Amino acid sequence: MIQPDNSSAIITVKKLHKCYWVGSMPFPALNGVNLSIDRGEFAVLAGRSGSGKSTLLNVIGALESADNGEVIVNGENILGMNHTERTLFRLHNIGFVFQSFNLIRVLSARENIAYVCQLQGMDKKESEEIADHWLSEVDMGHLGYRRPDQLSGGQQQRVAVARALATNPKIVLADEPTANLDTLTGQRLMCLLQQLNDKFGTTFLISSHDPDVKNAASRLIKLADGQVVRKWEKIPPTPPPISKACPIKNLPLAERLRQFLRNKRKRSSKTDKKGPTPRHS
Amino acid sequence: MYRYMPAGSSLHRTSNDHIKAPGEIILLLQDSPEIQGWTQRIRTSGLVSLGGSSAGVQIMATDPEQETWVTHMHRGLKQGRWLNPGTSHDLLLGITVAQNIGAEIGDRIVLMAQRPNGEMVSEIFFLRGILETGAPQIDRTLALIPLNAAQAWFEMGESVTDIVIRASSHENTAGLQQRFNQELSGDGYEILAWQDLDPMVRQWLEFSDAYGLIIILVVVALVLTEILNTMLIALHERQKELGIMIAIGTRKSQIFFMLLIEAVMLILLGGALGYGVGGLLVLHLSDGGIDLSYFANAFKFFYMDPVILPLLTLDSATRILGTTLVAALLAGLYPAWRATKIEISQSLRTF
Repeated sequence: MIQPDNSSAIITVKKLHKCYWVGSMPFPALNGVNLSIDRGEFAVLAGRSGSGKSTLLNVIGALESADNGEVIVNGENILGMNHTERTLFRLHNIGFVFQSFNLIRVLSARENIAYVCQLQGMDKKESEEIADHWLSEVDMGHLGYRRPDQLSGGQQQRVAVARALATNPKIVLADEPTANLDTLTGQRLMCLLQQLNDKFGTTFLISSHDPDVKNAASRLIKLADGQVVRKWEKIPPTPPPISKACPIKNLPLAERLRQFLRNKRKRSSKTDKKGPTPRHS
Repeated sequence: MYRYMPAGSSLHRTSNDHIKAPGEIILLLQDSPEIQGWTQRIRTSGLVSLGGSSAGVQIMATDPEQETWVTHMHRGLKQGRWLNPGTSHDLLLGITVAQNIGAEIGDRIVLMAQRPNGEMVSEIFFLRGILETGAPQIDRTLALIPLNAAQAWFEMGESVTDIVIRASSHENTAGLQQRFNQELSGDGYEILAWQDLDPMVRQWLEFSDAYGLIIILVVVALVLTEILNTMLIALHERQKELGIMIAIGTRKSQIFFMLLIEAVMLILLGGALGYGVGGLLVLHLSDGGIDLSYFANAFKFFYMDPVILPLLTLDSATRILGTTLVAALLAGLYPAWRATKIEISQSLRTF
């Protein structure tokens, strides 16, 4: 396994172990993970369900503790922090995008974003201005007063992205951000994340087994059984399948549909050539 | 009749002698903010007769107008009208006395009694009204006549046997008793508060206070349980929301105080609603009161007016609201503490 050069690394994970217990039965989730992510990278954690992607993201995001190892994020060893320190660390360094959006349901889209700004000590007016700015960045400015249950899945995820970026975090951790979205909406979201990565230089670490997400990655890290099993490599930034049309919202509807169908046909033909997909692949 | 004057005192001679110059005492009562009203009375035992029927009664002569400031007896009129002032020979009987002798409104009724000099005299009165006070002991013995008529009948001049005072508040009773004891000491007057006149009423009120306290404690316990239950259910339902809040940077202390504030808000909103509805009910019932005459038998040993007049005071409202706010804070402590123990990663997986 290649030991990462930590000079420009914003995330460094060394020999990380984490085990869940169900009664007296141990379920190892992370078995000595080592990895490093550079500043401004758009990295993707890939792997099957149960491979440890979400656990690794949670530990890096200071949402969960670990049994052993070292996690240095933005120069701070987060495993040595107490609860309050971890909360403040999350607030000032990390933005989260979750699989099930996880917006606060009693607050409007605008209030969801303004809330994190207020947690950082901004006053109401400033927070609302920032919320409005980020809502327009994710093309949701016209829906800011809607509550999450009045938004579609894709719209909710855009608000979640805006919330994650509103506090100007060093890193955005996204756990299966496209899992609850249809293909087209998922592609649009990835397109948006890439744009934000390019524009603001924020580091993105995304866990997913969605091929579109993998294609968008500047670095792919594959996990299996709680370990990094594939040498990471800088893969040339492959535009997402619809990157020509990015942002897709700018295309006429007929063209968007044509691209969508073309992509779908491509995928079908690949599947046909391979034959029936094994259940566990 | 003392059941009607829980906030007053009775002033009368220790001997059988009557108060010969009540005007001197009345002067002391006027313009005193601690006194709501006063009346002069003559009380004596007597006999009431109609045709062949007769019954022993307590004859009470009073100033018809002044009496309404001291007691609510006039509200107990079952039939007929209240006494006319002056020397009219109006008579009101307790409902049981009237039934026992078969008297009806307008009947000529003979009253027999003893003058202060010991002479037995009788006089004809006209039954103008029948009273049902709710206290069977009084309804069984009461014969009420105008003070001036009694003074003329007993040849007492302006003398009376009692001066009854109603204080403007319970709290003033002891002070008034002390004041009159000082001002009238050496004149042979005995100043009795209602507690002295009828210790049983005092005991009953103490019992009533204790019972009321128990009820309030039960209500507070119910409020506590309800708040705790509501907060715990809300906590369960909002586990994900709280988990998100903690995940994106809300400190546990902020979550703790947020839930405490929510418990207080719950009480403030409930209190505002309760006081609003309760205040309107009190306003509506303040004239007629809550009539519990149907349960009159239950009250007969307690000398309690079956018509209860609800009263909402700022003092009691503030005290109850303060108590429930403290209770809400106490009840909110546990759910707030539980909220700080939420496992973020687990709560984010809940739906």
